[in-house]
Amino acid sequence: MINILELKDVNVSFAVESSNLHILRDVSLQVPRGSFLCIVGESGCGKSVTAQAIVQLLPDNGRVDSGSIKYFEDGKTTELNELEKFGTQMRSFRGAKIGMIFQDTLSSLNPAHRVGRQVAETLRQHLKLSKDEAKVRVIELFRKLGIPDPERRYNAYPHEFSGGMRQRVMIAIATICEPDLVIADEPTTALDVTIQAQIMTLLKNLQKSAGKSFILITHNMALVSEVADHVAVMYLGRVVEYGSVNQVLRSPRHPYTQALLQSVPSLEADKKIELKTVDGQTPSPADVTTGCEFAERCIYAIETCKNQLIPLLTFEGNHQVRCNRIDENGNLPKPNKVGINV
Amino acid sequence: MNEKVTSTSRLLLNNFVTNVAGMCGLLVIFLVITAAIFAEQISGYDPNLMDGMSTSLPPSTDHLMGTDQLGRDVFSRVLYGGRNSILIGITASFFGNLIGTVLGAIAGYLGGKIDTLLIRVSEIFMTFPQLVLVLIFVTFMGQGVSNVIIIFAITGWMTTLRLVRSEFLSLREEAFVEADRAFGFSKTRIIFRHLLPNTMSPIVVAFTINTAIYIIAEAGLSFLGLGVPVTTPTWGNLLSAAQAPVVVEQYWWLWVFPAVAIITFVTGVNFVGDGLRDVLDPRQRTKSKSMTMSATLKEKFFGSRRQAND
Amino acid sequence: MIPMALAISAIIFFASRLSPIDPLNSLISPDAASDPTNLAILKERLGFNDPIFVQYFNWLLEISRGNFGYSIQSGQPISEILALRMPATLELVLAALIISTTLSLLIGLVAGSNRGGLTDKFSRALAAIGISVPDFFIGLALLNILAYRVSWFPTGQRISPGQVTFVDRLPHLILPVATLSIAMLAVLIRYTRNSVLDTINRDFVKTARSKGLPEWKVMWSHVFRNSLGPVMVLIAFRLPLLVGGAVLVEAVFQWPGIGDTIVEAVTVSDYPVIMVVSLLIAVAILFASFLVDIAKSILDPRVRLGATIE
Repeated sequence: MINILELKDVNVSFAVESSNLHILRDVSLQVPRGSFLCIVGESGCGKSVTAQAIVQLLPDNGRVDSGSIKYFEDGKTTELNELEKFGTQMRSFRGAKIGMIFQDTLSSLNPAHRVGRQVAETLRQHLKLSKDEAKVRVIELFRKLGIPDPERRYNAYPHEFSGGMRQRVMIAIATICEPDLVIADEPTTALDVTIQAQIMTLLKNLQKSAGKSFILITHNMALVSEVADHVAVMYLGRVVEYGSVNQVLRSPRHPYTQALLQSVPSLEADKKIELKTVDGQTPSPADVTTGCEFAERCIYAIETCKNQLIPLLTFEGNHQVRCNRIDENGNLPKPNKVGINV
Repeated sequence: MNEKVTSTSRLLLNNFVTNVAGMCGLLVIFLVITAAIFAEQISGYDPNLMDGMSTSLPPSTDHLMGTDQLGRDVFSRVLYGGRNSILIGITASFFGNLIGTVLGAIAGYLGGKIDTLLIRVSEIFMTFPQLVLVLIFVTFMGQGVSNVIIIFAITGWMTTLRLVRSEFLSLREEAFVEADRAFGFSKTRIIFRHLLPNTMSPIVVAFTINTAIYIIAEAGLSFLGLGVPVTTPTWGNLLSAAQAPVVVEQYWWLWVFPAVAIITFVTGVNFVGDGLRDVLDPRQRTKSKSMTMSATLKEKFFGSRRQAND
Repeated sequence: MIPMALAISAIIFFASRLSPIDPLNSLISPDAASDPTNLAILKERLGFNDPIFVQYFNWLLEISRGNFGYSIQSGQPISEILALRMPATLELVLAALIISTTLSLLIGLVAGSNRGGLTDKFSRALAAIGISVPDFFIGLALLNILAYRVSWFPTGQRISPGQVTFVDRLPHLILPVATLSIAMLAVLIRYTRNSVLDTINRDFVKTARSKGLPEWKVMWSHVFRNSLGPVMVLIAFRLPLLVGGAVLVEAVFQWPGIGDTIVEAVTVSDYPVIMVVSLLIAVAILFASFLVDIAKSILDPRVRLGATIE
């Protein structure tokens, strides 16, 4: 399996006031070419930061401290984090080879520019087309994405669209140059369920039909089961489990993943059984410095979990887990505390 | 456990002491005020004594800042002028703030029609160039120190009103106010004993910055010859000498020294104000915000300011 | 706005009726006033025996007809005075407005986008000093240094003998405009810089960057373009600053404009002139805000009305 993107032991920190918050911890994941990777986790676990780090769009106080982010294309490997942030090379990736779709469409689109122009901007930046040539392509893409009356919509402003339509505009911006990798950061979280379904189908089709690689960032496990080929589970800045969607969803190995999956409500569940929750609250990245981040809330945790480096275990089919308590067979011991409501 | 708990005022004091700009400002203010208070002792001359023999002399060891066309020693006039200017600034600021605070408290706490009325009135005053407004008042009230103070107070209460009003509006919803109401405290009691102490910090900062504003305002007004008459020296009317081109050209010491005095003192006050602001209201610690307040209050005089979403 | 204009003029009107000077002199030409019988008839006809509110409305009516009355001091029809002096002030104010707005936008953009850089520090320093220095002092200093010592510029007034065209007069315009512009700049820079800083952190800037656009394009097309709107509004609310500043600058440079007119009028309590000029200022500000509203709707499409596309 050839990868299009590989992250290895990426560490990102944010300088806040006088301290450094360690936001991403040894993040490693791979995106095989043509596949759909979902990065899941609760709010604040660093999913968005990972996406930002890939394209070097971290906020001013953020830095990649160590690790490598490699992009592979036709025999050429580029270390993205080594490129200059606003240099020509890095910019040649953004928009053209890596497209980004953001969550909040109303604030992510320039309210003073017409949407057509905003999409055309990407095109004209990378392909040096004329205004009219670009317009034609944009309208065509609008049509393909299901935006009705695209010729007129070309001249509309973002605030004149509904949420779902705006998201299509964002998708247009991200895909118009046909990048090989598209990163979507919670693209449907703010949308209605029905619209959500439409958008996800769109994205999935884009991926399948054009053979593009996708990274979808979400906290919605149901979505993951529908579209993902691979899943990376993150907790407090660390990838705790990585594998194919079947591996992770059907046979999760990490205690956090297990807890996460058990706490997802399902329509078929017996109403008499209490909703399962994960005990405790997500600590702040400033509080956890050594050991496993999940140790506080983990029902299998022992003392060593809190103060030693947690090994990365790889099981068959490249199913990776970071855990101290899993033995060579991939089994967890008996839980030593009642952490999950039974 | 014998833990020494530092009181809030102690903490604030500590914070302020470490604020370099604020401390510098405080030092400057202290120096200037001392000089102004001890004007008699420091200068050797009576500011109104006209020495026909020594007119328009440049600075020398005899006359540190030279003499004016009537032979009066400029240095002593600057010192006495400082006394008057600072007095005017502080008094006007005090009364203006008083009016603004009372009105703001009423508007903020009572809300409704009274609030709307007060806001409308303050808007009328604020959207008009304040210098012109002051000039208009001077026309039918006349000049003089007390008139100037009164006019400044009448035309300058608006920003304090807005400040206090917004504080009250937000505090009004706090839990402790509800508790007070439940206890049956009268409105006045709630306003004065409970709410007001909590809004002291912006008021104090406003007071400091307003003082600076009014000193500059007085300078402008007296420069035009429409503020304090020349018999009572102020920094402003010392500057009015510069209305004559020959003074601007040849007798620089007549206007440069008062101007430098103003700039020094006002900068000091502004620094103290900003320092106080940083210390008392950590929410607004960013430099840009504290500058915004000083600037807004500055335009109070020379221009007007509508409440925009600053 | 309108209530403000009316309120101001009403205040002045009523105050003027309280003054000892016979207001009749201001409404009729001096010739007609010399005959006592004439006077009595005129008094009746001009409504001086009517209740004061009626008089006020009549006055407003006259104004709307273009009859501005006469100056008490000079006897000149006020409309003539205005016609003579308005252009001078307009020149000054418009030039200063354009220059200070443009410069503040550019400097604000550079300062905001290079946070902590040289321009940023410079603009903050300028802002800090700007609020501590009386504006007219800048004028005096400039005059002294550039006009008197070095003779680069004329030393005041609007025109020198022999000058005919606008270009001839240009040197006269430079120092006053520079003074007023610097004063405005110190205030505006703060707002442009803040607006830019606010805009830079908005999400759509991230989107722009994610498209691979070069930084200059991001700054210009996206950041600058979007910070214009709020800045325009803020600048507009500071327009009255220009008026106040103009009054002082005109005094420093002996610039024959409306500012000078009003100062003179206040000095001699020439109520009619004061009333008309105040009303004029109020109307001008009204008009300016209206223009800004239009500009805002052009700059921000969200303000315009439109239907949502589903």
